[in-house]
Amino acid sequence: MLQRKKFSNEIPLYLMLAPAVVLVLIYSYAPMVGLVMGFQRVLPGKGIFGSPWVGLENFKFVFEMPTIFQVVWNTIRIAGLKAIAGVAVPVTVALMLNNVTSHAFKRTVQTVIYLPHFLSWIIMAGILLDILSPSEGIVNRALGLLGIRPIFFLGDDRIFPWTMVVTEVWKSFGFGTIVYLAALTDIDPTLYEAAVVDGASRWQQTRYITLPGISGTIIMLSTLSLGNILNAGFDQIFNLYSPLVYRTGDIIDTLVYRTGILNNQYGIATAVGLLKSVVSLLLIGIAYKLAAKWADYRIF
Amino acid sequence: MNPRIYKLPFFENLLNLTVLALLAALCLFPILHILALSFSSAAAAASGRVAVWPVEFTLQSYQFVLDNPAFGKSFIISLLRVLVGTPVNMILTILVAYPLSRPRDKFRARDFFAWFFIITVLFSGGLIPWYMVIRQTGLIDKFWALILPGAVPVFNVILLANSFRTIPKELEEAAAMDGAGHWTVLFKVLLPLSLPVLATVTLFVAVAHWNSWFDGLILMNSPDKYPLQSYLQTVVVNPDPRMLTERDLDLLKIISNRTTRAAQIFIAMIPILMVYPFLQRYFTSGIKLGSVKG
Amino acid sequence: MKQNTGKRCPSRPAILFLLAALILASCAPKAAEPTPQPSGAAAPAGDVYAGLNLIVPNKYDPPIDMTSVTTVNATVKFLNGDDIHNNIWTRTYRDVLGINLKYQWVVDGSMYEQKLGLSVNSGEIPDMFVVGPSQLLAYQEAGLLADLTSIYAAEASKNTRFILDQDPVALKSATINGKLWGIPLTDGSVTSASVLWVRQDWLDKLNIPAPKTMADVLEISRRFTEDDPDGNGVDDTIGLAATKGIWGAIAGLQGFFNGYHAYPGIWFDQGGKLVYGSVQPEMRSALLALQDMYAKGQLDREFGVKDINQVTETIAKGKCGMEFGVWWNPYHPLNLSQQNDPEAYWAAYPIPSIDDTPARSQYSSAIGSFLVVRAGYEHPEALIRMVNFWTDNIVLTQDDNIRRIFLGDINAPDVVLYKYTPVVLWAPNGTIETGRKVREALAKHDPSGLDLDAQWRYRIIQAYFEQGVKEAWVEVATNGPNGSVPILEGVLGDRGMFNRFYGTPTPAMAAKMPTLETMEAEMITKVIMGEPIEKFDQFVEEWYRLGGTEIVDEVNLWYSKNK
Repeated sequence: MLQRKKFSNEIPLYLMLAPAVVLVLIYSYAPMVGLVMGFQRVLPGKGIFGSPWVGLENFKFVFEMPTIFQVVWNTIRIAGLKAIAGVAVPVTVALMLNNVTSHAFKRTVQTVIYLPHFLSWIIMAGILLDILSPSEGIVNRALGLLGIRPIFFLGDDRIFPWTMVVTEVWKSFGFGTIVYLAALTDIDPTLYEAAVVDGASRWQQTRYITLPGISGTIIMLSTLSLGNILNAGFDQIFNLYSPLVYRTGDIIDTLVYRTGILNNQYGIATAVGLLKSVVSLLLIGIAYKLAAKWADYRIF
Repeated sequence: MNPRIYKLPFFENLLNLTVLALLAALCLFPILHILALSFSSAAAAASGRVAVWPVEFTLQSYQFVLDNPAFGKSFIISLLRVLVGTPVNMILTILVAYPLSRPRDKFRARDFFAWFFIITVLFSGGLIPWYMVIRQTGLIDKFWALILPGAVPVFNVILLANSFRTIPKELEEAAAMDGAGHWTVLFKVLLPLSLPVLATVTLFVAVAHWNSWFDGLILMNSPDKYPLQSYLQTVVVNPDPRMLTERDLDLLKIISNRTTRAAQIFIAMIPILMVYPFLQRYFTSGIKLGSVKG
Repeated sequence: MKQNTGKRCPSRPAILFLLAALILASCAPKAAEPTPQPSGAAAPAGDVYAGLNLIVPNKYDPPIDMTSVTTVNATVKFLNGDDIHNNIWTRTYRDVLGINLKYQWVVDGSMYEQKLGLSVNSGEIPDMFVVGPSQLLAYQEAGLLADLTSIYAAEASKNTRFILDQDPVALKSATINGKLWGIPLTDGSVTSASVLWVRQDWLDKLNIPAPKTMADVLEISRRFTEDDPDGNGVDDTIGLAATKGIWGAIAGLQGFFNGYHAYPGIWFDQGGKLVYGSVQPEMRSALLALQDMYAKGQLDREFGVKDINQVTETIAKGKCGMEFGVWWNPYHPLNLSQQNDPEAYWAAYPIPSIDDTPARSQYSSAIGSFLVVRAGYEHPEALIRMVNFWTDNIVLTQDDNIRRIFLGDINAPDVVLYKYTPVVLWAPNGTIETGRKVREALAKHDPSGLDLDAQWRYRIIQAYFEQGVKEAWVEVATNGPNGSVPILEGVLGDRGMFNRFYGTPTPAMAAKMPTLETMEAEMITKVIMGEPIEKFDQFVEEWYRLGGTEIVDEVNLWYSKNK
């Protein structure tokens, strides 16, 4: 009886989910049948059901590419650094903006930092090549005034991954900042009132109220960004890298792109995608468990 | 309006403002550069003489863009896409976020559905099956092909579900006492209290529609149905110098014309520049408890 | 890789049309001037073919249906009321040949290959379409294509054979296992050969003689760097342009290597076997020379990160005095240099040699795509008839009316009519022959007998010499007496080195070549920027070890069958 009542209580929830579930089943799950192509030699016109099985051959092909392990490491390194910076910078900026009292200023800054998000990497690359040039670029000229020797941001393979991280943050931190600003509004203002009464300093307020208040959002976004740990940003790197920085800058997607297999060899393309998905799922799964266990926080 | 009670002391405030202003300047720079390019002469742009101020001022680029029917057509398609796609996305986002935000004892299948949606972010069958399904459902070359396949934006669902969960249980329970069902709780209690996150998600959803280009290029059967960013994608490309032949000269001319390309990029940003401040009003207006108590 | 695959989108350089308009405006009409045909904005009416001397094969009666797919780029414009589904070409196929051509889809050129792959793999195969080399192989293996061998033998007209035989490798590249599976879309191969482009005004200013040897090139490069050729008193010029991609149609270094008898990236015959140019010892001395130039500031210090746009900018700014590039470089990007500095003039020179043996400029087959027919389509011969119509009537025609109706009206330069059909085969030697005719006419001072296109080129060159229209230099530097096109004639003779491998990529090549090319670009960039030349020897060793040996074997197996 209790069970039944419980279920009838849940009926509206199923109704709410129904349309989305149907759409997702059709447009996301049905195509997943295609994952079998990772184990096939896909023949044009024969499709998923007519192509011959080749076992793990596509995966073997991927791992036999001479630089693959270096490239996987590059990918994880760049993506990992981006994930960290992609949380740290927006959180900081959100906190800073939160301290601004002038609404006009706050809104202007908020709008402006979101704008680079709308420029494609092709355009950004053109601009970056100009401003980061060691001989003429404005950045190195500014550094020169500080007595720092010119840095070859895009041509020095020790610097290149950092350049990618910083420019990615430049382009996208406005986006993250908006999420954290929204999360800040979820914090109960009475907490601050109480803190003030207790004589807490601003730093203490930030440390004990604000940060815990948005920690859920931070954990959630960090976890989701793990799903991208094998996507270090194709468009960005493809438009900015060069033979000079292949050693540290070549990532899985650019390597695969240069092999030219994406358009014709669907089996290999699917295998690469599948590998990435499995790794992402593992990482997200682990993070989910950890967050539930240590922070008592359910990400979803 | 601001949840912080105390202002920063003068010098810290000044430092704070300065750093933020610098950051803003850094982000404004590329946009100013694009704007300056769009008002400069083609020759000045080609030789890299334009920084953030127009050189040899001219309106020719805008003339060209406005005279180009393909641009206008794509612009309208994109507007339609945002106007139709955003509500569809938002409704589904809200409808999915609510069940997923219920505690497990209230919705036993919650975890199943959470992972049901998460998996779709991580795994995809690749282009061919995706294309085949869209073809089977009769959407190829149809406007709805730009809306339905991506109708459930999972990232935003998670964002909203998390926000729902931060809303104090007491409010919902109070409503439930009054006999409110799930629908009432969702629409009368949760949504009004989630305006900042709703505004954020609306912005993300609208921007995602405005910015996406790949589906338009692949799913439409003729260029006159391309949304704006798909169209721009065909104009803003870097050619592979190894593949160039004299037959590509007209294409080279178009893509090397930095001024018209800048004008098109800039015009494509205008709708966002207009919508943003409107949504922004809600970003900071959420004084959840305060408003309820008051 | 993204551009230009599957299907090309040919056109005459737009700059010529602009020049034509400029010259038309600047001089009063003369008696000899060809009277422009009235270019109605509306599409021509039904009797459009009246008075045209068309060679028409047997028409299908009743008409047949043929589905196809095609590309339309952002640059393509239509006459009023026309679109890609209804234009002079679809009407001609219908009314003259009895073929109802229906495009299932039309896509931007950059997406063609991807969209075709998706279509074909989801079972939507057009009756007739264009494929690239690897698709030709894959689709043929999968049994999707019709065998055209006997149909071609029976139906191809004399002109079709003439065009296709002009390029000795054209039909071979569409042949698999002795059978013909596609009609290659021909174009000029030799037009991908490099020439040396030099700022002639700088040479004159500094009083330097024209380059005859690679030693001269090095000397010019030094003086252009050190002697302030732009006269602004600042040390801001470089000798030679280069990009991070190393090779290419614009600022590609392959021409420089050719001067040292090295042929990077292509396969050539050495003692009956094909060898790969990038791993031959001749590369070494060219690399050392470039290294020296870089050390002395004659190359852009940052060339290693600069893409073609940045290099174009350097050229436009007038900071660079030499580049190796293809014959049409004056149309782009060299014209930008002249736009910023009216006195700038880039002159073409044959690739000089480092020794007494003349240098040979490397080039590859232009065959990048093929017209194919779906296996099971009832009228595969319809494709040959469409090709015949093109070769018999259009591509070799001297009739200006036919050109106007089917190719484009010189008075409406943005409407390029042949972009509406995928069946476009250019005469492989067309560029060279037009150039020769123009030069002959210039020598005789008599443009009569030239077709309209050649007449315009003639008049543009005349305008440069007689009216001082400086912008017209682009045509002088290409089709003029000392232009780049006459140099190509030499390349077609004994001053060229043809890439002898023109098959579809072999299995090892498909798997390993991208990595090897990556290694190569890395090695070349780093050696030029100062790393020891031993890196080259290391590279050669690794090249063979990491798959090169296998590739060489496969290529030579292919060669033994395709000599």
